[in-house]
Amino acid sequence: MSTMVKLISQEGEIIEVDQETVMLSVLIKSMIDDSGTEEDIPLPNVSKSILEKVLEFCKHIKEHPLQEIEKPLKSANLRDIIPEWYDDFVDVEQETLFEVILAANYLDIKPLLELACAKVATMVKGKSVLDVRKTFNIENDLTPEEEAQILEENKWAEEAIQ
Amino acid sequence: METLGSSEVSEEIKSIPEIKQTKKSSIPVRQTKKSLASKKSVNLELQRLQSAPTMEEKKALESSLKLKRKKMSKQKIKKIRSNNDDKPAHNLSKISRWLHITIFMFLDEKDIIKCGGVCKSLFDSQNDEFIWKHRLINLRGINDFNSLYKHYCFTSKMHKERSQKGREYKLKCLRQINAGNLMKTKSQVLNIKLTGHTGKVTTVSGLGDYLASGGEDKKVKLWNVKKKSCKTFEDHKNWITRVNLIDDYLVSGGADGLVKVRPVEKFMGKEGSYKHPGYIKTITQIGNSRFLSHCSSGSIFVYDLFTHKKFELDMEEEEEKKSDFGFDSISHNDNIFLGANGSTSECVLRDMNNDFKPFANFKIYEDEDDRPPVSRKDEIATKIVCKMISDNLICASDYRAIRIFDIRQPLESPVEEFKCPEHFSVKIKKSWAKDWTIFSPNKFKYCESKGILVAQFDGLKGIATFDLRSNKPLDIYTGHEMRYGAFDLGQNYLSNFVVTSGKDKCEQSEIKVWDITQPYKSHRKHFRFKPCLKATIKKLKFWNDNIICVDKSSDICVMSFGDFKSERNLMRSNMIISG
Repeated sequence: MSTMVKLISQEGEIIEVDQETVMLSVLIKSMIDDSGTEEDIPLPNVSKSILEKVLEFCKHIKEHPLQEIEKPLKSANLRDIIPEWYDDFVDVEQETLFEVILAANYLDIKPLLELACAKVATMVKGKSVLDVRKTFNIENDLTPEEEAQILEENKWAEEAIQ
Repeated sequence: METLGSSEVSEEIKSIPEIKQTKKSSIPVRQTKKSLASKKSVNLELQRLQSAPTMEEKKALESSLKLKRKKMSKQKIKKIRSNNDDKPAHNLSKISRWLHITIFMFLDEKDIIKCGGVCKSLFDSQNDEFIWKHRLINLRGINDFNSLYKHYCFTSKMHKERSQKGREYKLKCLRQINAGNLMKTKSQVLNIKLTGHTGKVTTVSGLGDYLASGGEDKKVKLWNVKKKSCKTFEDHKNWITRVNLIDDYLVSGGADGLVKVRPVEKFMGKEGSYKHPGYIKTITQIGNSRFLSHCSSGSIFVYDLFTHKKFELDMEEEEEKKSDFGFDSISHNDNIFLGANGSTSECVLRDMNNDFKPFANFKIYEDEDDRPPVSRKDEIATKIVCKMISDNLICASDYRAIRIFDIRQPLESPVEEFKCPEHFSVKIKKSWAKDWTIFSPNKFKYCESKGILVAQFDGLKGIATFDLRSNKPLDIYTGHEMRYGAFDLGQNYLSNFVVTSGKDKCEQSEIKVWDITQPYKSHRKHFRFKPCLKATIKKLKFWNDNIICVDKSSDICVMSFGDFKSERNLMRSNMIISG
């Protein structure tokens, strides 16, 4: 008989889950180790929707283990490297993806953090600087001096790595 | 978190737990701040408004996943995704440095550097120490990294410092990759002539694409063979005794006692300079990114290329024994510094991990009466060449023989002694042989992977090999008809190849390549190269799979024999770089 724990999301909603499932999170594990399963676990940094998504991952990985993703990535398509379910899991809108990353980092769930970061990496891999800025909607805030420095370094790096 | 260090690595490097700590302590704090600032106070209402679309999206996703399981087409998900293109509150530029690093770990070097050009926060993260240290482990292997780490065990917590150090590591990585590429891409024999010195070339050193040279014309030149360019430095006041390319730096020392340190590319680091009282005898790399310089009056400096700080070794003990001329030769391994003094016929061992404190010394010959023959020049007769050839073995030679000492055994008695094998009948000129009853060892190199000691003896027109595993002489490789010049042992994958230089019947200079794992007899059909230099090659140096040749002229010749095992590739292209 598994014990249930109560997680409180950012919005204050309570989600009840199986203790085994959430033990994947180092943060929650240490909280349970400290104060037991009786007490509610407040997670003020994670919204309900993201928490649900995280828990979905935790449940799935228990039954379908995910092998550590090889670094650096061999392919820009995650589907070549990991099982389909995991690829679909991170094939989400950017904001959600970054929220998952932040949540995984906060909750300290290594496989999820790696999976989500690998996904971001595929979005960067092989693209030009302008493409990356466009993809992630980032403004260029580098000073001209910094840009000049990077240009020089990049030129050198391009020569070194062929 | 731990996957970043990849389990076995994380055990080796304590800095990772440190990062882990900083991460645990700093990031949640930053996130709470962020969530407090951006979400709760500013975006509180927006958040509520947004909660509806996210819920919808959530539901959409869940349903889409169910659909997926029913093997529906992917198009529908794409539609759902494209409907939602609000500007995200979190994006790649706003997440913490640690998360950037986590993402970077999945990318290759080129992509990481490229990301630096996207925005400021990525630029900073891209330079982080952790990424490049990790890359360096992958490239060099854990052992090499350990010595790098040993010296450099404190990972700084400040972002700025981390970036600075990260950049150093990054350049090392690029260099390493570069050197690797060079080795892969050679396919034809090059015969490049470097002209520009106006006096005899005295010293050369090669690394990556770069070749450094110094001459009697007081000039130091840095050649880039790939770009066919050359830079000249003329700030030494006397002839150049040593140049050495160490990591990303060109270090030069002159007869004026000056040591100059400069980065091979301007943006790659700082310049430095200091002075010795005597002329520079040695500049040698010790561990990673440190080098040691030694001058004729015996002073020794250790210079750190990371911090650009130097310190002088305490030489009191040696001074008492009045070594006015410094060490004859210097050598080291990871832990031990070895210096040999010919006038006292003594070797000194110092502990490099303990501020170079002397911990042992020994005489390579016990009997003082056995003095060098008078007829020979005193300088040569008393000279000792010593080398740490492995963790424990010391190889030292004077005019009599090469002796092997084991530091685990009493140093008074050598474990082995090698003389020029007499049973090889070597033809030597009679006038030479007058006073030379024995062939004196001249220079030796050790091929660690095969356990073979390669030695050159005076009067021997070639090299002799000895097996240190069975302590037996192996073979003699003589092949030059007229004269012998110099030899060098290959590096890395060429470690069992020796090149020797000499002159053929027609007094033309030539270079021969020997595989020391094969007997001399099997070299009947071996390769000879004719360098574009006239006189006997006096200096030979391996540089990746190129050989740098220097004769008594002011020119340098670089020969690349590529895959010299197949004759097809022996096409020669002549090229001259002048600077």
